[in-house]
Amino acid sequence: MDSLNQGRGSLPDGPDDPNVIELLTHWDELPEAGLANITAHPVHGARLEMLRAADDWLDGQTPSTGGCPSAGTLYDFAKGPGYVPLDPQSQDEVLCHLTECKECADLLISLESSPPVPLDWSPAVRHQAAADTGEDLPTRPASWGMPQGGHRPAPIRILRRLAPIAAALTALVGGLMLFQGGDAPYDLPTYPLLRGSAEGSLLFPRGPVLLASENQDLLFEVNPVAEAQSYTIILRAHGGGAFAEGSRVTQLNGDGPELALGQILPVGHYTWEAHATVNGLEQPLGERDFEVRHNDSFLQALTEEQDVRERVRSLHEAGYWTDARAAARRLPPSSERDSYLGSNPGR
Amino acid sequence: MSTQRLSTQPHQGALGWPQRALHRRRTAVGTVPFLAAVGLLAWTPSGFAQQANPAQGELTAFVRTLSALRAGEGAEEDVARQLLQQAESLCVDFSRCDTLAVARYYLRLTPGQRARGLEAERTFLTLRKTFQTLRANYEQSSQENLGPNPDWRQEVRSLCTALENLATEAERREDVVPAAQSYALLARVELHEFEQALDLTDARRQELPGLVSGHIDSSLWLFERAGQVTPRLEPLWLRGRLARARAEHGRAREVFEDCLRLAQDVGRFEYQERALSGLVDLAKDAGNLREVDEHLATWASLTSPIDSWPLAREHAARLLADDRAEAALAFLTSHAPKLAGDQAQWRGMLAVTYLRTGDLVSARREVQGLGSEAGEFNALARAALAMAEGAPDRVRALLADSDQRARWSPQGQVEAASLMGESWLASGQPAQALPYLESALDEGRRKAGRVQDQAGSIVGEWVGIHTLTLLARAHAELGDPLSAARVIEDNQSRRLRPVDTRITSEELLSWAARFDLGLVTFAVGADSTVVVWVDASGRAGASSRPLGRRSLEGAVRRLREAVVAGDLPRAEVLGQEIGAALLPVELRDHLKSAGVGARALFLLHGPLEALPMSLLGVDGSWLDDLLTPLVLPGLPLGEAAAPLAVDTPWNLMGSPLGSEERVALLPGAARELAQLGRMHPDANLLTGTAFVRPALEAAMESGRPLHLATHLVPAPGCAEGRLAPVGLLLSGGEVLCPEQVLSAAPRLPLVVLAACETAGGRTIDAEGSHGVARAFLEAGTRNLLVTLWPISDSAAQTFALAYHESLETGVAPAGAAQEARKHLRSLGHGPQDWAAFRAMGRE
Repeated sequence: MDSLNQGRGSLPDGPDDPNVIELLTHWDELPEAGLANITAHPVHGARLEMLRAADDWLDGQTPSTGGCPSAGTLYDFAKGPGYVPLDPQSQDEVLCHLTECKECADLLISLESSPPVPLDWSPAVRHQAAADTGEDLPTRPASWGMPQGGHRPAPIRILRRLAPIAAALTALVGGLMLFQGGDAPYDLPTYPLLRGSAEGSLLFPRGPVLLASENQDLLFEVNPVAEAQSYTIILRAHGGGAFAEGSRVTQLNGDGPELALGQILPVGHYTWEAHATVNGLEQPLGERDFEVRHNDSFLQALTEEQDVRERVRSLHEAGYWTDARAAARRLPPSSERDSYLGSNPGR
Repeated sequence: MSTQRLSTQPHQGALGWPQRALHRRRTAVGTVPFLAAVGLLAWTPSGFAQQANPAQGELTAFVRTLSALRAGEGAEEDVARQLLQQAESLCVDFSRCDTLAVARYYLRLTPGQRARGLEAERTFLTLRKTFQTLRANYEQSSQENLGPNPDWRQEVRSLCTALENLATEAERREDVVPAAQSYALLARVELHEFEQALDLTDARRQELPGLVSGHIDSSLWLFERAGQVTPRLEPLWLRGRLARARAEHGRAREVFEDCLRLAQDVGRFEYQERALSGLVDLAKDAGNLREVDEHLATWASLTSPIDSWPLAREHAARLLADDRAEAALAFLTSHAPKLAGDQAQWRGMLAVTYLRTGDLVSARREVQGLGSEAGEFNALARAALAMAEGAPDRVRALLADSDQRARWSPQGQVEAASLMGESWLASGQPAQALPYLESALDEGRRKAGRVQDQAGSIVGEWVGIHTLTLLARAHAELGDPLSAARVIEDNQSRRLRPVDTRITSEELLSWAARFDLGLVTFAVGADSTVVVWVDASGRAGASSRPLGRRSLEGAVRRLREAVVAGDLPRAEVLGQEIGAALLPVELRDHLKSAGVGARALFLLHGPLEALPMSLLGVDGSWLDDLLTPLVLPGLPLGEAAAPLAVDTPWNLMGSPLGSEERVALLPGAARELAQLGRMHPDANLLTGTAFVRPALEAAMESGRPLHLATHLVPAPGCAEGRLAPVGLLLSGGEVLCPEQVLSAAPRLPLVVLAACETAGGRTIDAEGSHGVARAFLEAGTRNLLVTLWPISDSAAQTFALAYHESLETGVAPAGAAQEARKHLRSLGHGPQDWAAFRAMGRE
């Protein structure tokens, strides 16, 4: 933990960095500056948030509400490593509780997307383990009727004092899924939880875009406009200044709210504006900038990463959200993928 | 945001009436002689699209049978039976039950009464032909700006007399339909006289509205007596126009809406267009672009702009009003009108559009193509071209004839005054410019008083901020920057002050004296921005910057995008660039002079309201590192709450529960409120199930400071007015709309709106952003902490704690906000977290 100056130093981005895991394991012992630094981190901030929420829940809810199962019971229910199988009656009771306990639902919904599984931070190990262990370590009991494949078949690393939290939360993942009647996305990255949304009409591309990465065919995405017969995108290149007007690169027209560019853009700053045509009248949808950047080292690391899911993760965490979406489109169809592609930063 | 100088409505005054009133008969009907008597079939005004009426064939057959009945052709019983059958069929199959009333009306008449009615109607048709000829003559003379022709005027008077005689006579007969028609046409002729103010004597000017109104009433009553529904459309439409001409904005809107409904009911497409055109005109009168857009969307759902030149023209004008000249040009090029009579308008629109794109060669070509006539639009187009070409003397020569200008439409006169003022400024004679520019804004103020549309902006959309920047420049060039600041503030964000309140120089000085560094204000016009500062001692300075609205909008957008993406290096570059372009050296030196902790009030208008001031660059530093910025969207002169006292108990509210699962939606907000509750043991803490409407309403009445940590969400259920349809989310899915905030009139010392983009809202040019923060401010809340974009739940929590800790030590709200921003920065948060928070208010 000291190698990262109690969280105050520069934090590695990697999701499975042991020093970061160590930091997070002891998050409640960190100084305020360290906590704030982690909170601000695009990857680890969300994890810390989960840990805090989990801790709050266990501290604040479990002891005070006599009806809630103990953390240990929840852990066993979730079949964490070393779990003791519950008898069928206890299992039914926990399941029943999870479907009715508002406090549990409170926590889960408030965590919005990724359920707090703060101990599962080692994708490489996870995938290997998944192959090795098959159904031995499911995070959801088969009796719930949930699909077994595809999600988190990983061993959960037991860390100090977080075991019960992890177990409880893992169990609650199942609860949430039961409430919602479907898969909850929790493997692909998410955007920070905001107090509202002002996503605007122009969604992607935005921010930095990697030159010659995933965007061989850059996709312009706008929020659909009711009754629009067509959409127009006008793309301009400019020098990046605040007042730069730029010159027109191309104009795209199409029937749908997603229009492919069909060419590779050189490094530089771009502004795109979009219009929708409704009953013959043009509705301006706004303007947005993006910047095509060189990042050879990142691209090299990315090239070595064969797993598409990891590419999505890496690109997203590095702020290349447009590229991350392009990578995500190459994933096999799933609700998780759809959920990721259906989300945006909200501002 | 009509920053364009030239009217986007060429011919509005001179050609508006003839163009709109021109009728021609639908060819499908042929020459059925009694069509006018029945009025069931369509008559299409010039330029408007024609649209198939699903009942057209049956209606035509019905009219033919009715014509036979009235002409006494065929066996009366057979014709009558057929007529009733056709009417019943139209009623059942097409919901055109007015045909039944028409049939019964004529069947009640004797053959002799029908014959006399027919004869009267033939007389009416003759008079209407005379009217059409006179209208064509008028149109020609208007284009040439010849003024009223004495012969023409005499002929109009004769026509009116003949119509009045016919109406009086026909009214006494059994068949009153010709009387109703005559009254409607009479009203139309008189209304035109009134609308165009054709050399009216005072007596005639006072007399005409009553005459028109009386004739409309008579027409409507007689059509009703004859059981005729569809013919009521024309007098209804005229009533709407009369109300508009009398500046009875609300009444005109009601009537046009009635007309629209009736036209929809009876399938009269052309009157739907006319009513919508009237509603668009009203919305433009009020400077209410949202309403313009809504009506144009409805209009476009009825017909294509390819088929309707008036719709295409209005849409192009709307694009120009948004300073989207390139888009307007592309649209106009692909939507040339089909009728030759509309070509002049189209060319005029092209000329204006080319001017706005800066293509003076093409603009000149189109202006020359307008011909040599000296009409209002032509004169204004030539003058605007001369101004753009740098020939101010020519501008004054073109607009020199004050008698000529007096015949123009009010908007034409305002535009002429603005151009005259600009030409004097360009000639280096600001004193000569002042009276013209002041008269333009005075006219706007008078109009605003008449229109009373809360969601519109006369200064912003009718007069134009461009004129305001010219006036401010004129004062500044005369060495009176204080007056420049006064006119900028007096003409913007006027709804922050009681109606008819004017800002005086003394008030401005008093406001400046409250802040260590005084105040800074801006007027952002189409092509330039005027910045004026008044320091605490009353010294003032001003500068005109070559930054137009679109340019600044783009720069602010880019800065915000970089900030919310967390791209601090790019945000720094952009912030510095904007600061260097926007703030003159003298002002930058002034802002750097006082040291950290010194407060300055920034009165942000137009696109600058969205600018994250803390990231504005000042010679290599952020503004936030030089001084303590406080922001207002204008000077509020109404009553406000007292300043915050440290020991005042808080209302701490938020952390809503979802509507179904009843789960906490914002864990950060829950923790934030819990922690603040511990910090303020005497606070009223209401979260979760307790965060409901009655509790919040009580808090708004309590006079206590209020901290709200919740979502700000789109709320379609909130009233569609000048305030944005958003709401503060309460538990259970309920929302509190800005309108409801305004109604509750919360006069609180401090309100913290720790939710998404609470500084935002619906933007009304010259009036600012209207959302939840604006509602609190207008209601009399003294200070606010607001957000410029959606904030992260966890960062908001950290910020809130730091903010309250500063307040607890006695730091004033703006200083506390600054300390909290710096606290987040020190913790490594990105600008997306800390630069979002803005102190707004009076301190």
